[in-house]
Amino acid sequence: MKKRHFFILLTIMMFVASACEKEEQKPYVAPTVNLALDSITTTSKHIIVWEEILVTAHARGENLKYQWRTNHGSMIGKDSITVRYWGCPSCVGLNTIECVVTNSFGSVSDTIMVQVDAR
Amino acid sequence: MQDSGHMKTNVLFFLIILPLLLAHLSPQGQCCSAGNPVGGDGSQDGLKKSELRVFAAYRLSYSRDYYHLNSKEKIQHIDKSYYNYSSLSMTYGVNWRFTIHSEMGYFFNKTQVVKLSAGTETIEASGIGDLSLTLRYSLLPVKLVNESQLIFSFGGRFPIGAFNEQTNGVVIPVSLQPSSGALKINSGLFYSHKKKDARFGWSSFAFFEWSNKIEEDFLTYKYGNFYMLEVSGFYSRQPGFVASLATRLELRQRDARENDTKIESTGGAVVFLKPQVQVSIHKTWAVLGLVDVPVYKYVNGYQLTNLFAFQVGVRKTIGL
Repeated sequence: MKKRHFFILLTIMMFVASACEKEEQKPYVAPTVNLALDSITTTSKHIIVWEEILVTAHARGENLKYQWRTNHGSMIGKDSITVRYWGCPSCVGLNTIECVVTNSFGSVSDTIMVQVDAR
Repeated sequence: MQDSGHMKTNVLFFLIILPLLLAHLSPQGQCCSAGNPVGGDGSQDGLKKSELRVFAAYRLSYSRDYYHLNSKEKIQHIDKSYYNYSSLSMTYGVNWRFTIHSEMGYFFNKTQVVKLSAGTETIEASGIGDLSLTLRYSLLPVKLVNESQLIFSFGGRFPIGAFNEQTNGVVIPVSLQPSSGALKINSGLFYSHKKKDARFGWSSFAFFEWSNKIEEDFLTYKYGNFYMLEVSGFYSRQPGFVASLATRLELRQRDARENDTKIESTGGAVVFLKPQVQVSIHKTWAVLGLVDVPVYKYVNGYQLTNLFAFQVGVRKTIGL
């Protein structure tokens, strides 16, 4: 009977790990007057390693929440609308930055590409 | 006859290890963070039937210096990177042949301090890391197990932990996420030898890990293959004290991104020294402490490298 203890503990570990709920994502919707992301602009689309740029989302709507992500590189939220982006040596290449804008009407998103070159 | 048996075992061991060493490697490390822990209590042995070993540990890893190839570079954009990590592992002897090992951990923080034009910023994440499950198989007949162990292991690390952590609406870079985000399959071979009444013994461990490709939205990323070889000598004063000194070689191939494009500043080779002490505080309780100190580093491109890591832990062995 005691052998079961190991498997019970193992199950608990797996349960705890899988119990971390993922944040619910609002459904993506077509742009309307209530919610739209017109464009994403950046101070430069071609940079070298460690060079910093500002990336800004131009969105319309009320009570907007912004979420930024990139496949390579790092970002710091300057404020919700603008982020500071840079790439370290392993981020050399053509990288994608995405912004998802959300309010009670749903979510809209857009991307911008930034080329990071080695020094 | 027994010597002949050991000889055969050693030959078998090196025959399996040699191809690993001769394989074409393009080693690598971590570009911009303190990396992820391999974890565990440093032991890869098999347990007796119905024996359960529970190990709780705390680990600090600290990375600071940038390297280009094998020399230090004056790059100060990343001031430092470190993590504080706790883990719980359980090892259970199903029978004298098979042992199951599982491990899960939690990052209290995984931090990078960067120097930007606007000042110093801290990027930080916390959460559950990967779940590791391993099956160990004892290759030696039971009569030899008291003096020698030859253990083959096969397992995986499962990315069940946090991989989309964000700060102020910005998703944190992959290298700072608590979970690696990728399924990893690994295999190892462990050999240890110590005569019954001898105070000294030695062990070695060869390990290989392959990573699945991460394909999530527009992120395509594949960690390079990881190879590790560790040789350790240990001194034991039964039953209460074991001290060991290990040398470990870690090799990583380059990571890849879209279209299998190799990422230049990833991969490398690091040689570590790992002193470790284990003190029994009761029949079934033991305290372990170890330090990982890199003594040689060679990285592709430019990479942030590890300065040290240390780990303390408590181990309880229970007969079920």
